[in-house]
Amino acid sequence: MSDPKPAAAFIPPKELKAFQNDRQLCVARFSPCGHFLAAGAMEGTVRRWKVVEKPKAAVDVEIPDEPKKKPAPKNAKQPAESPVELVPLPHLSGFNGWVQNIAFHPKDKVLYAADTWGKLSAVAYEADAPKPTWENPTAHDGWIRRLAISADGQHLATCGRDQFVRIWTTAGKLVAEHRAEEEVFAVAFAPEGKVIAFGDLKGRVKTWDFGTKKLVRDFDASVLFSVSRLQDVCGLRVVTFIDGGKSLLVGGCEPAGGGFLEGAPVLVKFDTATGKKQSEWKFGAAKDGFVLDVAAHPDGYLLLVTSGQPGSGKILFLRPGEKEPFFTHTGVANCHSVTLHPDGKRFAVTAMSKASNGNGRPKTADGAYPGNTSPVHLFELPA
Amino acid sequence: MNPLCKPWEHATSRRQFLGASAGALAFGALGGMISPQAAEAMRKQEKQVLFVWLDGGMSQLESWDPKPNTEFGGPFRTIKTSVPGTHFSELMPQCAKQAHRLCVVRNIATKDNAHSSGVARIQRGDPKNRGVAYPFFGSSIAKLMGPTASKLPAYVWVKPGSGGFKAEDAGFLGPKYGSLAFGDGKPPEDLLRHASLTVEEDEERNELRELLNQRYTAQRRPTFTEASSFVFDSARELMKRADVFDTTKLPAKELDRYGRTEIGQHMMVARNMLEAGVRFVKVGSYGWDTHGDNFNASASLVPKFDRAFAAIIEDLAATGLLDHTLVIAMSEFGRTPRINGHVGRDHWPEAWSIAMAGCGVKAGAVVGATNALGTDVKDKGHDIGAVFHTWFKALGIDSKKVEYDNNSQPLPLAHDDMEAIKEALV
Repeated sequence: MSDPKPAAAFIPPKELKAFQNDRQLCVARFSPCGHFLAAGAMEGTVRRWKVVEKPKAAVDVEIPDEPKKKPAPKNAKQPAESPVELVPLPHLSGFNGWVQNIAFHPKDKVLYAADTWGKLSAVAYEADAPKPTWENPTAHDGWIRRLAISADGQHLATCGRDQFVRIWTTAGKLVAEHRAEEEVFAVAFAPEGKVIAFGDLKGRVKTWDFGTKKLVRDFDASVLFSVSRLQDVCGLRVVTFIDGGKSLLVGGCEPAGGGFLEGAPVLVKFDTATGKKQSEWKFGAAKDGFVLDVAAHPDGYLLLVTSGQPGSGKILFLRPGEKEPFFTHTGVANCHSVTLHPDGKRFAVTAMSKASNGNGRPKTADGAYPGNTSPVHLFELPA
Repeated sequence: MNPLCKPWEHATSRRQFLGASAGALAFGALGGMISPQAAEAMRKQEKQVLFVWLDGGMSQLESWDPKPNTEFGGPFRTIKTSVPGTHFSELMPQCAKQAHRLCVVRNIATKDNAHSSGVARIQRGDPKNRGVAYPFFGSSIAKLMGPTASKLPAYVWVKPGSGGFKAEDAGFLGPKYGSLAFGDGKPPEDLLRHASLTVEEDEERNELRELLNQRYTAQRRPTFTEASSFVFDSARELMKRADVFDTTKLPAKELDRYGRTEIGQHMMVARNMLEAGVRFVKVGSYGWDTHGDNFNASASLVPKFDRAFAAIIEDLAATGLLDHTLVIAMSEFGRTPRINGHVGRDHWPEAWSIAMAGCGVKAGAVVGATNALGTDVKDKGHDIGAVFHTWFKALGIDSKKVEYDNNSQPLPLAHDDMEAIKEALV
């Protein structure tokens, strides 16, 4: 049964502000208390921001790291002032490579982060200069591709290039592990917290009961895999349970070729109990790339982000029972993650700068070679 | 009876020779035709080339010149190699074990950042604009050194996809010096004598073909006919060695060592061809143009190259062929340090790496360097002209003195303003 509210009545979200950064970001998440935003960076740090609500009689909030802006032209339309600011806090360091994944504990003030050299660590994120409460530098042999935390806050799940899926207590003790057939790209806990789903290079998705250490069911998401010349092209990026665990979503890209990596963003919905495919959505053309992240809104719809060829990206709102998204926003380039604020009224998207590609050395006036950056776009949902 | 043995006989004997206990057997197997001294002399004469072409551009940062934990360094770790102080990307564990046999040049700085101009420019060595199409390196060697005593084709190309004779490689040298390409690493379907023909019948057919060829040639310019005769004759020689294409009978362990991949299988064919006496073997691999999802792509691609390349280096060293075979692995450019929005790297001729090994090059050397972020070469970089001079010199060809003769027009072998990379040479 479709939502009784007609799509035409939907008021699109409003972008409050794009917060600039000097580096590229991976996954961003709001803390459960809603006062912090954190994002793993492609430089071995976790970036943190304090989420500050401006009082109505606005007093400027000091934003120490924000770059100075050029004055707007005289006749330019002035953007409305954002009622919320993201105030940068000192980075969490001590990681290597990239920090591709982070997760907040649902109750404790602890942030978990995983890097691409295999380190998993826990940090009390509210402190000004926090140190890890525990860390395991060899949680995996190399790239940890995903990190998930169970809804009850008891366990962490990690998966990586070393083909392992591992379950940890949130105190850092290894509970169980499973070696998959290929590299593992995504992992998620079922809501009850005893079963996980993971997806591998070739689009094989499985549920696994880590208590009994038995595989439960297979899900065929091989649409997210192809072989292109010498390259095994993995399109799978995200798995997540919805409908209280009754359905399993698998998202990524249906690869049309390697190298440039062209392919359309795809989301597949399975019945968790039977493994049967229920729906499959394709959100665009070959240039549009991957579904890279999914967030479930309490009102029953999904927020998805996509990223493809440089400059292309979409924010999509989708009701799982419908054939098409009821909202598509293309104004943000290369959206890499989406996180919903716990109040359900705002969400943030990490993106990448539009003009970040090009062959050879870009010609800048001062001879510098600029790296790419990731703005964080903060949106407000209609009441 | 020709007192000279064939290069593939050398290869067999060398392989056995290097197993210490089998050394005496090797020369015994040759029936006393040549002395060890003569065999050694022939080894020195028969210089060969293996040219591995990674089409599209392998990322130097995910292979030979990693910059871990820097802004552009990417997600991967580095690993130690067999050369103390030298590190490669973690995606190259097998090449890391062969580093003492490799010569990695990390300060290549070329000019073209497009495939269309880059591939030709790099493989032709980019001499000054001379108004003629210069030959690819393989064609140069086919012209300057000719076939080995094996009489096998001088320049073959083991590649994915279609095969055939690629006359365009030869540029102004003329089609005779083009490459004989073996699509998907397989021989032409009609390479072998048809089962319905006896040896005698086949010989009679060939005599008739020769006669018709002579009549045809007499009425035309030789350049139009000599290439096709040359290819046919080369193919006939290859018919005798059709076994070089057959990798199916190799032990499973050997197949695993090279990797059960396209590049692994092609590299095994290349090894067989070098052992059989082909002068110049090019192995091509496609799909390296990783503008999107570069890091997952590299995680898939680079280890496949790593395994196959390390295996052939190991085998060429074990058989002694590496002593007189120049090995080169390269692309048309490297990839940008900057990571684009599609998490890819674009084309980057500014500061990238090539790897060499074998004949004439310094083993275990790392030549040149890039800066801490990998965005520039330190000191002076080397353009492709300098690289060509280096290769010629490694093969004993003085590219500052030897010239091509293009219908009485003398042309330099390589860019005449550039010099060989001395630090890379023995």
